[in-house]
Amino acid sequence: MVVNRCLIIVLLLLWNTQAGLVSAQSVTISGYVEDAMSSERILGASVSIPALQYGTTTNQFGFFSLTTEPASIRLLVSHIGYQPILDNLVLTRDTTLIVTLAPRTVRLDDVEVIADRVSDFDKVQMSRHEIPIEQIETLPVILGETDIQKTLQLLPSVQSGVEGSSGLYVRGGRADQNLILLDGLPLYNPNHLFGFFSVFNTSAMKRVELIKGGFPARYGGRLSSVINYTMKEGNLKRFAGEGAIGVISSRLMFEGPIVRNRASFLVAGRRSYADQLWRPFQVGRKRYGAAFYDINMKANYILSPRDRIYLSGYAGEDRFSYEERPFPGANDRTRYDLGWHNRLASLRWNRRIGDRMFASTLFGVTQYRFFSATHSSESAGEGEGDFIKFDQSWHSRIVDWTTKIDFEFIPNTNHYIRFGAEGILHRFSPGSTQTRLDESGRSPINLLQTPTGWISSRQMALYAEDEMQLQEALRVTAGIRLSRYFSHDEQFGSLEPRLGVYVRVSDRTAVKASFARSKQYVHLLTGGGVTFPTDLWIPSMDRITPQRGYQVAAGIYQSYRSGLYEVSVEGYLKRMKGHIEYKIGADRFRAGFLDWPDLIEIGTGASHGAEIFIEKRRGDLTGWVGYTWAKTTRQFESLNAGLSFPDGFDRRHDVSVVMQYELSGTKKISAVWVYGSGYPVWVPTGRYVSPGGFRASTDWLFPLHLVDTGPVNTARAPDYHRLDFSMHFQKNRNWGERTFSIGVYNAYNRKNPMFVYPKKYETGDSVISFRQLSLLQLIPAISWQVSF
Amino acid sequence: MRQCLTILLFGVFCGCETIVELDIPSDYQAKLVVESQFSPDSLWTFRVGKSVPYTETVEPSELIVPDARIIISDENHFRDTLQHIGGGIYKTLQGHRPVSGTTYNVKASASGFSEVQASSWAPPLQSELLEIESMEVGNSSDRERYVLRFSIADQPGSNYYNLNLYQVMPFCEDDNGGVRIEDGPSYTTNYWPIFFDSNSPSFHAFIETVDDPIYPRIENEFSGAFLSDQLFEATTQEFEITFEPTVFEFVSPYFMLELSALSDDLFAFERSLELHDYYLFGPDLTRSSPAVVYTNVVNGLGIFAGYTSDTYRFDAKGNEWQEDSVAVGSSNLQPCQ
Repeated sequence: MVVNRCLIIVLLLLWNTQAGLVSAQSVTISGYVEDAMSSERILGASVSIPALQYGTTTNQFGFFSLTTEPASIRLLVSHIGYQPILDNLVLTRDTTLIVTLAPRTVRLDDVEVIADRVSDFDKVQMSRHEIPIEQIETLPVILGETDIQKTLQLLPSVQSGVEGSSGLYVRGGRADQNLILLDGLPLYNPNHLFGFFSVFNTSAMKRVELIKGGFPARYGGRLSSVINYTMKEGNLKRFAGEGAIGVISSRLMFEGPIVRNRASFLVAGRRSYADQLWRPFQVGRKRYGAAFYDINMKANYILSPRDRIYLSGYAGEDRFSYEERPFPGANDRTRYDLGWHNRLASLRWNRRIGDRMFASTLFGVTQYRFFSATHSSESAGEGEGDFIKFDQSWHSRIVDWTTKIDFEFIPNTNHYIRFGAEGILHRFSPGSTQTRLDESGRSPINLLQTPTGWISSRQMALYAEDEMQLQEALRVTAGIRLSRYFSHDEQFGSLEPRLGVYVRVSDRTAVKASFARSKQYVHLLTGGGVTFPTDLWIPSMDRITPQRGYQVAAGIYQSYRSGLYEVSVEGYLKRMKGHIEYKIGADRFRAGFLDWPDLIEIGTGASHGAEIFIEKRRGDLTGWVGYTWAKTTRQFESLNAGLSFPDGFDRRHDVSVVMQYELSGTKKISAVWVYGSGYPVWVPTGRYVSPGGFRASTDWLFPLHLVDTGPVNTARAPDYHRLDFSMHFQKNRNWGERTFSIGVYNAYNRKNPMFVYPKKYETGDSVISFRQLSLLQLIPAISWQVSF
Repeated sequence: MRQCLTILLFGVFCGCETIVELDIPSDYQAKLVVESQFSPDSLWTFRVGKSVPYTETVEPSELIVPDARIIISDENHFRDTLQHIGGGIYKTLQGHRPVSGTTYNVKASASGFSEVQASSWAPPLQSELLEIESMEVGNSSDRERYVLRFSIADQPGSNYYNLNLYQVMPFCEDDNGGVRIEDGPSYTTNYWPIFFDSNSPSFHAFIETVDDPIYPRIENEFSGAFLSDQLFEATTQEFEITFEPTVFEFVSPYFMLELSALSDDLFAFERSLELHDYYLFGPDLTRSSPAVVYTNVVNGLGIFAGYTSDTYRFDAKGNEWQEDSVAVGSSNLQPCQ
């Protein structure tokens, strides 16, 4: 019944589209917008006909298509950081253009800028943020490591979880509910160094987009957000590069033509060197090591004016180690290793079909692997060569094979239609253990245990959406997404309607609303609090139903002084089902070996909130102020007596102030202040004594002091706030430019709570107190960057 | 892996720890804490206490509830009201003992507390000591090693077992009042747990891993073991352990094998206590939630759970012996020489 109804809606949309097509004689201007210096395609550029008061923006690959009546027009093309172009065109037939925009080299004052930066004010899509990479690079960050995800945390309704983490908890969602795409493929663990840094190297990134609600039908498989990272394509005209040296890592990016104006490449790498710096100072019997690296690669080839192929790759790894010897220099040793890596590779073929259609086909594979290992070797017996070596390692993996085809069809100015299909083959290996014991004089023991083996599941989806101009001031995006999931022992389906409405009340005021229903077939089996690399990705299956939910959002948007200031107020209501959570006392390390359904609880979640976002978009002083009031709860039948309780990251008030001030053409200063009311903590409310466990003595000579944990998350941790500063000094040289940056994180040295926990001291009456672990106090940073 | 992650995380998170005051709801309702781990070998005994708000620090003796009314009953006509004999301990005066396989219900009330109740049983246990023999041991012929075989007839459903092996050893009292093992002609003997080996995958050294039937391990040595029946559900399973006794000049090798069947409740309580100990040690970042101590006492805290034990006493030749024949714990400790 529901399917039939949706089919009727789709048919009506198509009929309406066709009617639009034949109703008038029209011509189409289509093409690409490129950077004049590098021929890099510019996405999100505005292409408009001011006299007719309509336009479009380039898609993710710089393509645009604009249909109008034959006439002489003035076409305006603009994008942030580029000189806008206003061109006269006489349109008599379909026309293809390659528009090149020159980067701005001088500051423009507010008056000169007509349409400097594409604004979401005019778009149907709501709850969307796009922060320019250039702006991200100048914000203060921990240890001077530019981090895109940490910048996203400064936006309303985006929580970081524990302090310093790059995790994202969007509008009451969980960490696994974010669809994090790198050139169209998902990355499962976007963290370095336990989340202190994200894996995205700003030198290699062209754009990042965050969608918190009103998800377009082309995105699916996650409930809470879409974070879309697009890598740079590589300079088609000349060799160029960028390098930076920071406190804990350095990065280098190099790009250039393979065949001038036809093929190009980009390679970017980053490596931490804290392990190398520490090495000379670790002379005792204990040694620590921590290192990460990542490499981004991209190449593209223009096959014809209509065809282009892209090859993208990413590889990143984290590795931590701890080694202990009985005394310095001893041969006997025990070593612990822990690490994870992400691998990603994709091949994309873009084709322009006629002047009004664009197709993009993607094949790709993404892999995430976590490992932990113990190695020990010690001398044994009395012989000189006698030894015992013991190695045990634990691995968890997930591999996705993805194929996707997306079409964009722009029949006329009243419709922008997208449709496509997606297929993913998931392969999970949640836990395997390799054990080896090698003892002199004995046969080695080698044991591989893979209790679950590889588990495969398939996910397929079809979608269609149309952004329609129904009236001059009314635009609607209607979409539908159909998905099906085949697990090894169960099948699930989903019908996900998506709707976005835009009403332009006046030149300065707009109202938007959206509805999105989503289903998520993969789960991250994690503790309610901290997200670890040890968390397991598991598929939906018998007794583990998919996560599903819907979000309703509405907002009002106000623009002042030609978009110099924009103010938005949004409210949202979100309901989620199928949350999974470890049972109380469950050991996450056993999860790879046991039946997951026996380890978890399944529950529901609810979140609602209001966001205020005030942004100054141009001028010497830019930045924003964001405020969020939110409430997020969870409910599990076997937790908290079945009663609803605050989510672990339920933060009632959240404020962020982000400011950048351009002192001169070569000097910038930026500051960030954030405030968040305390997170809920589940702590003991009562205490008692017990004689102990099995066969405990009946007397009270050695009583155990136990706690009654009481209701879930009834207490609140102290509030969180901090102030960060940074200054950037830029100099132009013959060979390029260099930027010297200094900054400080947590400038007033606030001891913010990272974890709050009870702790017992065995002093007579066994005093139990609450402790807070504060990690990131005042941290200075320095970095030096060059680009050429 | 837990050890690995904990060590590495400690290195990463070696930040600043400070005491904080939390705004904890002040309306905490004190609860009755009822505890009885019963077996057919002992009379009905309970300890009854109370919980207090977390912020209060009190002596254990201040938490005793002396005026509770404890009624124990079964599904048939058995009913006994226990009497307080001091120190928060309640005992049957009728000489009643739990019967293995019978489900019991307890109700406890005291002024100022909600009435609490719980039910549990002592699961039946069918075990048999099959054989003990001396085995050849490689080059070290002077150190004798024994192999012991026994069987468990598992009942349908989820069952948990505990296994301990003891040797009778001589004890004496040192100058500081401590107890130590030392050979001597007149020292008091008592039981001392000894290590044993087993290749059985059902054996687990730690209660945390018992639910995992194929927990990867490389060490086969145990000082007490927990078993679950996941690998021998509702069948009779034979087990083999080997051990090496401690040799004394004046005390002959006498052994005792103690095999217990634990109720689900007792197993869950025992397991949660181990986790709870970690929890109060400091920030265990690898845990998903606070370690809640298991309770089956409705409206209260504590544990009401049973177990059944079979005890086998044997010497090196497999002969059965009695405690009085080897004077186990029969006199006060002698001073160490």
